[in-house]
Amino acid sequence: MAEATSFAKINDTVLSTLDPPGKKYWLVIGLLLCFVAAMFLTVGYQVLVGIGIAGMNHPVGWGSYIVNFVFWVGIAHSGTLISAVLYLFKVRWRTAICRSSEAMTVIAVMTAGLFPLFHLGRIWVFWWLMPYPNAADLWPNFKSPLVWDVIAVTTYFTVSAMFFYLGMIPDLAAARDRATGWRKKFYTIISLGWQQRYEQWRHYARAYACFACLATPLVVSVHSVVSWDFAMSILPGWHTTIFAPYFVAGAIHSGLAMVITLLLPMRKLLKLESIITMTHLERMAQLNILMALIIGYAYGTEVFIAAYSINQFEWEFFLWRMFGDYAVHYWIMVACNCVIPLLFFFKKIRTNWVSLLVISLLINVGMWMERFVIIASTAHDFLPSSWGLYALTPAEWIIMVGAFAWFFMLFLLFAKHLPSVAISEIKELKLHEAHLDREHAG
Amino acid sequence: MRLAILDKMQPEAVQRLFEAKRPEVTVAGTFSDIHALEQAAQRLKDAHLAEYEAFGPVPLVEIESGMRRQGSFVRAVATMGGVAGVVGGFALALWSSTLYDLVVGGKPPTALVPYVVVGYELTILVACISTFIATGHGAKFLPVPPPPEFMARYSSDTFGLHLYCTKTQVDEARRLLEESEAEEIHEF
Repeated sequence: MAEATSFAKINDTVLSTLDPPGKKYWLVIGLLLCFVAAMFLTVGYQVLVGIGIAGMNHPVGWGSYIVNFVFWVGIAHSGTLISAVLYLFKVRWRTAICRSSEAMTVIAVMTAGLFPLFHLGRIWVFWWLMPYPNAADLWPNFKSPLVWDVIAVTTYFTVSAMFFYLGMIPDLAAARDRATGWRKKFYTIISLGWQQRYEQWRHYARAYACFACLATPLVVSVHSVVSWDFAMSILPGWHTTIFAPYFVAGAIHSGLAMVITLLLPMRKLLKLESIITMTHLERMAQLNILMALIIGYAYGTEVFIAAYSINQFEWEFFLWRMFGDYAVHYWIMVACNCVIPLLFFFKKIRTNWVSLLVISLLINVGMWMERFVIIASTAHDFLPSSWGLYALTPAEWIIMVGAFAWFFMLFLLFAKHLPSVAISEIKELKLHEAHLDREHAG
Repeated sequence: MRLAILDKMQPEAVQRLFEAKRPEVTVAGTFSDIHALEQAAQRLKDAHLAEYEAFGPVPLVEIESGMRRQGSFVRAVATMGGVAGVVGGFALALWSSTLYDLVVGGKPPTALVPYVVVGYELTILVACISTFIATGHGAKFLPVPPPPEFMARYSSDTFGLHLYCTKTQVDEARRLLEESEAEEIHEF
């Protein structure tokens, strides 16, 4: 924050990002919208002709839709880690990046939520999973991991969205007080009459801390519950107790990488370099090193358990996973998730924006591969006669690309229409730093 | 805000200043420093004044000692929400399983361990929804423009202290703010 030295300057720097965007912005939004439209048209076609247009068939019943679901729920994780966990630990550098990470979380969960619907085939009956009173007394089976998943992801989305919105209200009021025309009306409505009053702050401050405390267990629980979709089955490669921590670490790894991927162009295009500095990105790269080591340990443990278990099916399965039909995917996964991020040990690499961008993208490729390897490898279960292979069909590719477009489109809309940095928290940090300076001087 | 004289023992001038039932005028003093605001608020509190409000662009928790109302009911509501969530989550899962009590595979229709997930998630969900509603109630969330006495600068770099009084009490209010070293004083 070398330049944004005063509160007014912080306001100007952040709120100027909300100035009306140019033609290029809308052109990019339009282009992304085309991909999104293609995705929904393909889903519509799937509704018409059936889920057979996707490559899922015996023995792989869960294909790219569930791969993408798990991938996007994972991406969502670092937002809560940065906004809630690091808040509780009083990690002060989080303030510059917490808002954009929270936005990423909400958008990623919205993206993830699309895939179980696509996977259902009969989208129109999705509400059968909701616990609601009905005439036949047929409630969802609360013993099923799939129902846990619905509850966990719905909770995660609701809590993340409320946390994101609540944290943004004071900044929306700041946007309201600077805007004109229809934008002023828009910010007036969504800032909910915020007046920066003490009577509002005293409730807000407690609520923010409560949300941080309540959202922190979700960082652990959501991806644990997602992992139990697999671990509660009896399939080789899935039925393992290591899945929950392994999934949580992977989720944080991919989420941090996605934050780096998004922040690098965002800080440049929105001229936020004085607030989101290279130090912030460096710190996240350091967290990626930690996650890469944890994941490397998990991958190693998984193989060790298979070897040590003297379970023929388990060991054969892992040998096939490492050296069989999906060996390329497996080793891309290992390289991108565990080896390449270790380059961040070198300061030159973790402070260079090109290497940061490339490595963060590679981590996400690796994390997608991890989910693909886990899910597609059900092609190799107990009976050799039922073995098969799975590959994405063109329809699945269109839907996957469309989902990425949907994610980036929503993030772009966020970045230009809502305050992308937590203004009041940055000011609070400035006050804290000034206080410390006074103490040192005194 | 309700106008009241909390302490009948306070100085006569202050009693005159805050004797009216409804404020007719808002006298606003501005400050560029939160510490000046904190001291000014403390001065008003020491004078036993009930009707003043602070404004500022950062969470004003550190001036709390100078304000009449402290803390918040939000945490208590969040706790009650959490308790309702855990009880509700377990109750829903247990009750709904008894409605369809077929014994399948020799297993009982109800099972506590899997319902921990339901109870756990609903604890967080209901606690968070309760927190949000309580905050909205406490902070009076309404999609309306701020009142005329609100200065847009409060969202940027200015702190403010507003005294609510009647027309006859304006001079006293101004004097109090001047004594508190307010940089600017405005009437609304």
